[in-house]
Amino acid sequence: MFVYQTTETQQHGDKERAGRESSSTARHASTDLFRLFALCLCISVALLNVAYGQFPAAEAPAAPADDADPPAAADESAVGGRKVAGQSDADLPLIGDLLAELPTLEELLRDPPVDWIVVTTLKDRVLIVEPINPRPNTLEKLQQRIEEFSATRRKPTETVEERQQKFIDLHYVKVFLPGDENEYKLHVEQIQEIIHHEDQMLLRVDALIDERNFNDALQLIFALNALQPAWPGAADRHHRLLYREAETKLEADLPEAALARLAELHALRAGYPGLSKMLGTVTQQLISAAVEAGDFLQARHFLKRLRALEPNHPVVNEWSATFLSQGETLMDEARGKSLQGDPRGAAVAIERAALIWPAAPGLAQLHGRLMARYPRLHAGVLQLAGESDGYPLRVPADDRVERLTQVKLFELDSFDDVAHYRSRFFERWLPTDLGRRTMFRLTQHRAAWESVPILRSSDVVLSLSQRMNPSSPVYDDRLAARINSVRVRSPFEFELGFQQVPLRTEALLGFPVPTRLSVVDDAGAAGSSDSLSQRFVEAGRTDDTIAYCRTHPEPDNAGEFHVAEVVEHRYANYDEAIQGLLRGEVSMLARLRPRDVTPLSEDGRFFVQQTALPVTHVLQFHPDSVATRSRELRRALSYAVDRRTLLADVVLQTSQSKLGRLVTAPFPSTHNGYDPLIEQRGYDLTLAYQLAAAAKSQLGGELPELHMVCEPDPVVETVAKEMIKTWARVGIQVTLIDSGGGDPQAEQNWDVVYRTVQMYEPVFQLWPMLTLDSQATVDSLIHLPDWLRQELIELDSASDSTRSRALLRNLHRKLYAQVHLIPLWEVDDFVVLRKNIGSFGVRPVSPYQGIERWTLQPWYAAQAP
Amino acid sequence: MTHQSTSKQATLPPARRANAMAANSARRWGRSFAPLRVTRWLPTLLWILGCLFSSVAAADTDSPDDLPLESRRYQVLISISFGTDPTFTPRFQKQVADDIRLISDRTFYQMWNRRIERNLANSVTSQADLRRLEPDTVLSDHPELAVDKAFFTWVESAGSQYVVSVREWDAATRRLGAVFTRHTPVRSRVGDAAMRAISAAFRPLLSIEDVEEGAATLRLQAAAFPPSDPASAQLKPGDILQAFLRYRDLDGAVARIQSLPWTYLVVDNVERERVTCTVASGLRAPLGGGRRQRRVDLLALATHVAYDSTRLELVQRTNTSLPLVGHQVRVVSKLLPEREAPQPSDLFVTDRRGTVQLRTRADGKLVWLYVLSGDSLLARVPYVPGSDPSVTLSVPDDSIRLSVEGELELLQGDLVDLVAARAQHILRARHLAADDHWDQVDVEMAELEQLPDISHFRQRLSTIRVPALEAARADQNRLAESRIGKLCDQMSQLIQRYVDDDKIQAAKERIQELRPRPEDGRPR
Repeated sequence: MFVYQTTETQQHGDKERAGRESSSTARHASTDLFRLFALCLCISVALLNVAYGQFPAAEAPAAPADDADPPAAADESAVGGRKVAGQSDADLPLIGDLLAELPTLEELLRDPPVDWIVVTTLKDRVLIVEPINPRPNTLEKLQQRIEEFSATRRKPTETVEERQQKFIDLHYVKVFLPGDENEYKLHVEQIQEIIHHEDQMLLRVDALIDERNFNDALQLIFALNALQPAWPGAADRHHRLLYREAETKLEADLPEAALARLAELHALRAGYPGLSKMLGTVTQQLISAAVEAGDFLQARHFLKRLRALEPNHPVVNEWSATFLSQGETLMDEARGKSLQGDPRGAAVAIERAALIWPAAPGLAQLHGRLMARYPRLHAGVLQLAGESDGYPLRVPADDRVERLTQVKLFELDSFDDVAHYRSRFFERWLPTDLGRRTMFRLTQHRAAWESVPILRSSDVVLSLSQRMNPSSPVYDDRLAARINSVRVRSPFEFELGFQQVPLRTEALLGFPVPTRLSVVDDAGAAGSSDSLSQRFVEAGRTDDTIAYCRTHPEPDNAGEFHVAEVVEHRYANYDEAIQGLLRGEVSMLARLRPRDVTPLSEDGRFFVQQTALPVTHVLQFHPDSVATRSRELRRALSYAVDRRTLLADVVLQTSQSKLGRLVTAPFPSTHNGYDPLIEQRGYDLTLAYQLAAAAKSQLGGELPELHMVCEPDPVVETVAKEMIKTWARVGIQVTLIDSGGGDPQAEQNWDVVYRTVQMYEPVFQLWPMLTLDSQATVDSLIHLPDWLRQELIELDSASDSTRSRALLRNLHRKLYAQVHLIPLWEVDDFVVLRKNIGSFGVRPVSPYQGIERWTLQPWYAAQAP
Repeated sequence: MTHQSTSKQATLPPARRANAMAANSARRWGRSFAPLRVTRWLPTLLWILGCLFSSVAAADTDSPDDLPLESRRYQVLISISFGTDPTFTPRFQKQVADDIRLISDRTFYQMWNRRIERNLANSVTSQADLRRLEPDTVLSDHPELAVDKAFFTWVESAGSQYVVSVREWDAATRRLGAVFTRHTPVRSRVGDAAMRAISAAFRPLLSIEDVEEGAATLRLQAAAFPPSDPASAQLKPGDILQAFLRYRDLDGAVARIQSLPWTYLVVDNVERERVTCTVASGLRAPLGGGRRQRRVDLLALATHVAYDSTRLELVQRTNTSLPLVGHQVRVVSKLLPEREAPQPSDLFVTDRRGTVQLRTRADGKLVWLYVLSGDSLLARVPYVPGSDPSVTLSVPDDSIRLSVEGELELLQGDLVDLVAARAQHILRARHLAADDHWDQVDVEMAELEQLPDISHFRQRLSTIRVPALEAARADQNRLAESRIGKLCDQMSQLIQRYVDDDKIQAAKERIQELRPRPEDGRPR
């Protein structure tokens, strides 16, 4: 933009100059026509009356001598042109004053350019004129022309007088005074020095560099380059600027910025004095800091940058040798651990070696061998499990990790218009007595890749009894009310009797077996364990990573090894997560922004998989919030959300509108209980205002300020802020509670929550979601209207799918109409995986579904980013 | 074997029956004494038993049915059974029986005509058996029980404690009381603990003589024989009685006995045999007012608080297998809801089995239970928490009304939207008219015309009201019918009030008045 403006200015100046030189008529065409004319008239009168020995350029030359003598008298009269302009010599500025007070950046860029001519006869006085030609090095060029003219012979067609006149003309510089239309001539011998406009810019650049105002200095250099490319001294100033700026950045402890300046300087002038040394200093500092932070990828990145500039720099050689040494040490350590039967330790060591120095000899082979034995998957996430940052509800990270770590008796396997389940533990389950009883047969075998124990009937029955015991912390009211008998028929068979035929036995038994009495291990021996139904368990945690290992490692003699460990890396936002993926820090991202779906799909290095469950964004109200009990206020909030625009502009940020859609329920729009005929509520600020006014009168004439919490997600937070702005327009003041504010009381006293849900069994999950409870307990329904309470109970106790679907649709209609929650939109969920990952399923229901069977081709980023 | 003998005894005259019982008892005692050289002790034992049962048989003749109730002493049988603890020697058992006899005489004196038997209740071999005991079982196992009260007593040891459990059987109402348990660590005080349990389990019997305007006058059995210990008076003000109807056939035999549900008599005053009570009942005329039937006896039995809590189960009246989940039960501590100021209450919600746990009050007083479905009162009954382990209350079905309430909520929501939208269009139209933007005024007015009118809402109301009323009539649920009608009427008034088309018409006319006339271009 700056260059464009400068060029435009330059073009404008050029045109103006060309117009002035070609015809005075063009200048008269300006808007100051009459004023200029009057000025010229005054100057002409002055010339006639006062001037001595001078003449306007338009008149005939007065005293070019026939011979080649220098026209000194004429020169003197030309100098008196100052006087012709009605000014005495004393009015002219001194060069010292001008240099002391250089034009500012704004003046140089804004005002018409002028040159300063230091006239020899005026004792350091300066004549300020419009830009003269030729330039730069005007005097030298004029001298060169004179010499060239003298060296030529007179042409036959040329008279002596004409040649003499040409020779005399070569000794004069044509100048225009600012605001004067007349052209004047100045003898070259009268000119002591010419400080061009461009030189003035360079002088200002010098001053700005000394002031460490590098941005303005750079702006001025760009303007100069646009005005006069290759102006003498401009490149030097640019180099000096870069060097000084690098120095300043280094002093300000910004070595990476310093390196960037130095790299730029290196590209412009590799031999700049002190550049190589400074490069070494800066890079050394950067690499040391990165190594100290354990970020070898970054260290190698800086090393790579320096090597690209100066391959034989001592710093390059020093660190290359250091990294190679460390890498080889780790390779030895990895070999040792492998021999000791510690595949995890070996894998961790070899991964670190590959991170530190991927070019180490023999690394690729060793890495491939060890990582094939113990595949470690690195996944990028925005939030780690168990870190809700004060957010009062369960965060998606908790669900993701729960599905990674826990194996439930029945697990969600796929989803289309209903949920489909599978079980790792049951070989078969057979309903009898018209569904009032179900006989379960537990599997007695386990594949080598499976990381689950073999359960016995007693384990399941113990777990059931815990869940049916009201005094137990895992008491499940729904389960306890449904099951009326448990009968163990054999160590691997048991039968459940139901009080009422359950709609989905699988959903009812979708819980893990937390503890057991005994475990049958691989060798068939009995032992004890507290971590049943866990396929992965947390093995280590740092500030930004959590590692999860298999609870049942694959045996050494397994032919093919599957993912043995998952390491989740936290990134601050989606951009950094994408960078981590591209750099090779991680091999998968558990969730993608819609706008990243297409670019990554087109990248041949990755698979982009859509998950079966979309993410639904919902606004929900706190059961204890008095204000939001007002139906009018809830409706006002709903009408004041421009869902269509927010979805397109903030959430999707892509033209692919198919990735998200407006919805009217908190469960997927593809679910058979979703009623597609329910009309979407529109965006109507006026109606929202009217409803807010009605709510205000209901609430005693004053709308209380609402407090809102939102899920810790960058997109969700942005949307929440936008909604708050719109609500303020209709008179509803909402404050977003800072989840990380550390005030637990403030975090609990919220009225509205913005959350995302992935609901696959609304018949079972709608109740706890509405009551913000982890369990579907009747007590938690107390805040709901009686009709809604009874309809939820009726839905929960439905025994056939037709009736439950009808009840769900009816409930869907009423919940939306009564605005008990505000479903916003649903967005398709995607996971991206590097192509070295194999055997993952199509349309998984969660990012890690079936991870026990995933294979990983050993891979590492051989090149530093 | 024992059952066969007992059934034979039922056909014998009383005197011979007593002798037979004595013989049976002797046989049982003989078995107990077998390890202790029976032959040595048997003559002495038979002599003691003979004396004992002779006195019991003689006492039977002291309680003729034709005596007034207050002059009739309680014919009491105390049956003692012992656990299998080897320390429960015959000597110890005899000592316990002797202690009970002594203390009961000292406490109740002539009020009780008491006899004591050991191991009469063969089916009771544990405390759990005592709890499982059913009235029918008692009648079938002991048809010979010609007593007013029988106390089945079970003595066992638990660790360092001796545990005595007692359950009372009332012959008049054929009801078993709760199990009362007392503990003592002292072996010699087992008899005392047993007597304390028996005293606690004892429920006085009364005859309801007169009922008038929520007050009842009763006569107390054996009131003419006050206990020697004044603290053991049968009744005191504040005690709670439960009423029973005893139907007799033409021969005067008891045909059936029915307890009056959700009806209690709270003792106000006791003057010898005359007891006055306040009647608290969930029924409109629980005791039939002043009219009495000849072959129906109105009885009352004291109610004891014997449990920590009572499990109240709510079921639907028309389908008692269907528990009512998520219904509110408000528990108010007061005697008569009509006469007392509102009291603080506890609110419970029935769980998935339709139950709530009612905690026993420290003072053991009566509370009122309000079963609510939203704002609708489904039932209002008195109850004494802790008097039963569980109790079931059937209430009318309210699902139809709730469904109507939900639909009306939707209708009301749409009504609010309509009112807001109308106000919005009229406001805009007024502003536009004031600015002479008549084209846009016409647009606003056209949009106003497009909004639903009053007939639309009335039609929707009809589609809610008619099917619901038909369903309520089909269920013969008059309460629901009435409430649905009331709800729909209220909604109809709201519609009339807020969607009145006349108001719209008036607004239109006001805007129309601002429109310039074609002839002069000025507003009218």
